[in-house]
Amino acid sequence: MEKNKISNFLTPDISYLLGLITGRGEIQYNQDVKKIIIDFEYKSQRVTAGKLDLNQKLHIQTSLDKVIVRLQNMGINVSKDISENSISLVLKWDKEDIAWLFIKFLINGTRFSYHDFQVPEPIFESTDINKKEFIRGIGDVTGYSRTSNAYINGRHRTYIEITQKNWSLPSQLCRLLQSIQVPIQNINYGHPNLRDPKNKRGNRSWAKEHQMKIFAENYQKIGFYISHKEQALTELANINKSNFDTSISLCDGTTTRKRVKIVHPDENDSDLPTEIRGKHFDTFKEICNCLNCYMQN
Amino acid sequence: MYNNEIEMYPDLIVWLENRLKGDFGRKAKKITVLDTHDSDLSNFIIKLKYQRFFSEFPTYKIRQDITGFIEYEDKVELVFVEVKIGQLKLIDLSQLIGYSCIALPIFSILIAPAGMGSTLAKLLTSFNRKDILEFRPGRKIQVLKWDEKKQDIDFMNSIQ
Repeated sequence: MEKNKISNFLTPDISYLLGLITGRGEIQYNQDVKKIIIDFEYKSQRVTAGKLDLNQKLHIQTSLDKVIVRLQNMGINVSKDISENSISLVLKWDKEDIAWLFIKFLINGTRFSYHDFQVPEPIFESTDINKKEFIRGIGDVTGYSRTSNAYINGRHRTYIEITQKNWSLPSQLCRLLQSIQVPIQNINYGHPNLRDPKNKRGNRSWAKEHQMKIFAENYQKIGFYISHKEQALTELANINKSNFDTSISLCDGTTTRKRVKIVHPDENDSDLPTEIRGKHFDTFKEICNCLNCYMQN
Repeated sequence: MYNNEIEMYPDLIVWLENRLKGDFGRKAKKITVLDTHDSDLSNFIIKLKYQRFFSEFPTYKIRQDITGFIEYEDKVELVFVEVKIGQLKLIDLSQLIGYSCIALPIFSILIAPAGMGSTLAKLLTSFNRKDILEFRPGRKIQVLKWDEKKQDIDFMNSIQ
């Protein structure tokens, strides 16, 4: 008889919640307080995509009502906290019940914020439906489809933006997306060789979030529950479909085009993780390789 | 955008087959998902040579739109799907409850791209009458909203 596995107990609801937490969650935990705070940030009130001009704050507020009901149906005490540039969901527990322990176990015990959360291992072993819900959770908090995200040829892209402190998540998310046949066009790591390759900007301007770039029509398979993000994605994917008929294949770990970059003085920066500190990179896949890319290791 | 229910069947068959393989594929011997809207369930049971698993099969003169057959060594379990192009109504749910009470699938799905109509939504969510979805202990009807673009369920607007 097959042994019980954690992945067998995952549901779309739990997977979605884990995605939200992994993307923008923070745990507050002591004897008196047991909270998970999930931030839905927006840098500006309005966002444009093609012909659309959308009020982000309003859309997030409305869409979150459904998210709250979904979490409440799981038995979780949830409230909405609105501030100037973000709306947060606050999940609160009065005691260490089984749901709290299960979630804490899944998001890896001693890690406390999205700066170091990883993809929970059972998600990789779970069904495609749960994998997609997990990625939707990540995308709802930190995925963006904007006109300004387009590739140089005008093809629109969705960005999943990962905090620069978290160097494990991009390659793990890439593996997850590829397992459901969603190709990544590029990962622009917050690394001096990629973000400031000619050392023109200086001042550690490269130390920005990692951007995982996916063509809009490919990301439609995942999509968003936050309404303005979904509307923007549909608009940009439709533009792509009218203008481009080529598709890109899944990454096999190899690089076809390689442009040699100059050595950057910040390659040894103390904020870079030990796996890549002191090394020079000409392509993003070389960084992936050092960060445990499943295709190359 | 779908023009009628039949246009939805191929997408839903692919989706259900993946879902059943994900949920039951490790233990099941074979999983088959078929468009069953134009013939009685009894005929499909004969066609698949499953008569020995369903003693009452000659009485299964019911036509749900899509049926999943999950074959094990010693049994075959059913999953019913009823598809609607418009909003889901109480009458649609009642029809599926009837079918489900007769042939006892492990679960049934009522699904539409438009999701639940206002009366059904009010009954199930506002008045929380989810008890009407359980046609036998542990066997339930799932009321789902289909997202054509994602080729997946809109879990925010569904009851599982």
